[in-house]
Amino acid sequence: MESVISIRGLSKTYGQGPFKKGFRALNDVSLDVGEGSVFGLLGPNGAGKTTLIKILMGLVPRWRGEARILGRSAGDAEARKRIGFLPEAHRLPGYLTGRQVLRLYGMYSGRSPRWLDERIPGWLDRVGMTEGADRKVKEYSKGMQQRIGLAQALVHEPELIFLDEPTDGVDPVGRAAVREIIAGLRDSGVTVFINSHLLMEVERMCDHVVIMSKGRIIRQGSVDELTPRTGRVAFEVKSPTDELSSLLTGLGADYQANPKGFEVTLSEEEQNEVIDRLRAKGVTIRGIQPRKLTLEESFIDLVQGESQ
Amino acid sequence: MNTIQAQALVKDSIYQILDNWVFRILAVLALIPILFTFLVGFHEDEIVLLFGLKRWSYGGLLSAFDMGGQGLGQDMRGMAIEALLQIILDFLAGSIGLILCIAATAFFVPRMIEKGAADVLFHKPLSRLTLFLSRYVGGLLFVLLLVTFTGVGIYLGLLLVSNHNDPAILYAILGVTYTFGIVHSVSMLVAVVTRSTVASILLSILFFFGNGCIHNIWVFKEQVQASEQLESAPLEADPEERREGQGRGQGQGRLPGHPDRRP
Repeated sequence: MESVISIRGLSKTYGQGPFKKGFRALNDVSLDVGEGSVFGLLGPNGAGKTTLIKILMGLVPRWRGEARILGRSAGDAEARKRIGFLPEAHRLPGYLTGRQVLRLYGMYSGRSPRWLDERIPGWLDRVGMTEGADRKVKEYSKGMQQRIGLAQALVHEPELIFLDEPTDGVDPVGRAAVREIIAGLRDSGVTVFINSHLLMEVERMCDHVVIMSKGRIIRQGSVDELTPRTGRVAFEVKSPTDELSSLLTGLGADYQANPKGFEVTLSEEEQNEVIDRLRAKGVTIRGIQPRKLTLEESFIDLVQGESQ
Repeated sequence: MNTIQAQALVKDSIYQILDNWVFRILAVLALIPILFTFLVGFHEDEIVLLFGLKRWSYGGLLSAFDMGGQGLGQDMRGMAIEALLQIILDFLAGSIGLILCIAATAFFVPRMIEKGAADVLFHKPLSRLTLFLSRYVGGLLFVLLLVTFTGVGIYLGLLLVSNHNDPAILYAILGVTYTFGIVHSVSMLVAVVTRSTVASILLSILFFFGNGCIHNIWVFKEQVQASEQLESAPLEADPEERREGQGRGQGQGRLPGHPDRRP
């Protein structure tokens, strides 16, 4: 897979001067983002995520290392034509209507008014803003501004999209719509780069995740790699009783009963044995769920481990 | 920057101007002097209200203000129109209007570069210089639209109702816009450096008045020099030359745009 973003040894220090050490926001970061993937960037506050995105967008000057985007240097104007960006806590001009925002910002990206007029109604519909499209942005709620901001990042149909907290302030229905849009973009081969604190959203949307802390990448991999099985298995049974624990004598460890059944640490062989014993005693098994670390748990473990 | 992007920048500026409430108020206020020139006619020997509804002779008007006899026999119509234009273009448009325009456009840049707004705009494939220039042109357009509306309206009013054709009124459109262009560049510079609308307004108004003071001191100095030359000139000098000497320096600081009018 071709790399849409390629970063090698990227470092950025803010406020550095002859007599000032400055603050190192990025420290020797190297990263590759493949074409057509949905890429999640995670990290605690001050990890350097926004700085990384801003360098790629050409918004932050004076950095060290190599950063290429769509085959061109980061910040290159030709590359920026093919990029969509939804910044965190963005502010769109209040004097424009939602429709005017999409038209003007699409034109800034080089698309003709006629090309945009054909597509704007579709994008307004996809972000659920058809109704409020002709109202001024200053009259919008936070969620509506977020939706128009998202449409603004997508309207010129870029090849690479950066979304910084895309579901911030959006209601659950809107979040589902955002997920659907991102899935649609992935299907059409667009690369999406998401920075979010909502780890459940990232887990549901992303193929690949990078976790940053203190300006460095501390872990990267697919969502499955970052959310490994814990070895614990949850059994849901019909009418759980206290006697269930006695059935598991000599099997597994850390038995824990709950209102729906029980949870226990087991190997795969032991799991089959438990099923056999439960069946032999006439216990109806409703479900068996191997427990995985959630992305949130994995993230907290990694970040806490890093700080220690 | 291609033509589509340029088109978008111009449209953006126009939307920003039309949404500005100061612009709308000033546009409505500009109707007052325009209507005045359409409703009041300055004729050779009288002033006519509402196409003949009421008439005043210049002598009668001067007497009403306890100025009977002053200036009578001179071109009273020309003097009245000149006084009117001085009030409208020099004082209202050239000073108060300009200050209001400075205040109304001073936020263009700080709002563009404030956190959240800058990232959305600056990531677009447009150079920052282009974006700043577009805001500068937006400010000029703000004033140009207002002054053109006022200037052309007054010019047409005087031409159609008073039969007074003074192209200097039209030149004044460029004069006022040019003056604003200078002050607006200072306003933008301050806005970029400080990111503050208040600082931008205060410092650019200070610059405007500072320049006005320097200009007036210069005019005053010229007048003093002219009168000194006049006093030291031999009595047998040509009376025409003496009159010229008196006139020098008196045309400064008049209506913007007129060959003799400086903003």
